[in-house]
Amino acid sequence: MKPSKPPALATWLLEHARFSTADGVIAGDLLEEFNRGRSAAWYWRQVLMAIVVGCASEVRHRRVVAIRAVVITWAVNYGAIRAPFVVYRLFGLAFHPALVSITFSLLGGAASGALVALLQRKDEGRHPARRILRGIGRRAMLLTCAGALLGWAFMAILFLKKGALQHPIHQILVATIVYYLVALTGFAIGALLLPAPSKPITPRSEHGFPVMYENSVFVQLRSIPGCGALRAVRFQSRESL
Amino acid sequence: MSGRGHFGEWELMVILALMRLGDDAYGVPICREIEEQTGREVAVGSVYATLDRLVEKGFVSSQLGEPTAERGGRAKRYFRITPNGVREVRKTQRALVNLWNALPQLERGIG
Repeated sequence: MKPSKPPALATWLLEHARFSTADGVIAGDLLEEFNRGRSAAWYWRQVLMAIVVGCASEVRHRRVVAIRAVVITWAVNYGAIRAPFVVYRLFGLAFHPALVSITFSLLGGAASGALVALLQRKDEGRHPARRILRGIGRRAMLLTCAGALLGWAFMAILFLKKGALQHPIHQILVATIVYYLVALTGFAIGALLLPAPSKPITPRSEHGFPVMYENSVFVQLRSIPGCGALRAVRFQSRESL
Repeated sequence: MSGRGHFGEWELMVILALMRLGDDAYGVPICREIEEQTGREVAVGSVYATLDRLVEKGFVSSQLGEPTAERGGRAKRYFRITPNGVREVRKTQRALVNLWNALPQLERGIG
């Protein structure tokens, strides 16, 4: 029997990941279709596709920034995977090799996450476009780098670890996943350590409303006596910006 | 693709579905129309990404509708083709018809 409500986690993901300015509308469309008899699997597919398409669309808009973010991620993590050899040279095997590798993978992930987030914040200051200010660009770049990190993890295990090719494929895959999870954890910590950018100052009109709302019906009504309470109206319509 | 003069295949499908639906063109009916005509599942997200692109290019305009309970209090976003869009569709149609006309043997089968 089909559940009466769509998967809550999928809805939460769509509403919070926000890779597109149309996510609110998409969520409404998906709910409408779900209520007409679509399955939970269909709902999940649509949510994941909406996230991937939104992210890809953002990356296409800002190719150079995306390439820079991926290159930084790979370069920093390359440094992190080579760093344990320096430690072995300096201290010998004073520390357990696995511990050293995990620590540097974590640090490399964190450094790349922080760098990408930092550069993204600077870009947001330079290009205060609607999509970028809403954090869509930042989330898209971080997700792209998280994806690029998986490719990097596979290549690193395969080509940088001595004799990796002689191991069975399942061992290589397990090593890749472990390394990826460690680096990704570091990446997430690094990206989240930076405080969110302060909200941009919205230009306001002489009436005290954001200029973008100046022509809205709510603001037009403000001059009518008794409509002062409308000032408290929360403008939910993101698409009307 | 359309930046160079014609719509791509997917863009054309979306915009033709939009034209067929007229005033009732928002995400759900557009997806259903494409699904019915092509027989394949359509991602709502990719339809919106395409529509956003067409809006940016000035071929389509959009307008928010009223929020409804059926949609969890979320508004519909209606789309409409602009005169520029109609012109572009005609141009693409002409180019495609010319190409099809150059392939009369297709009706009897090429192979």
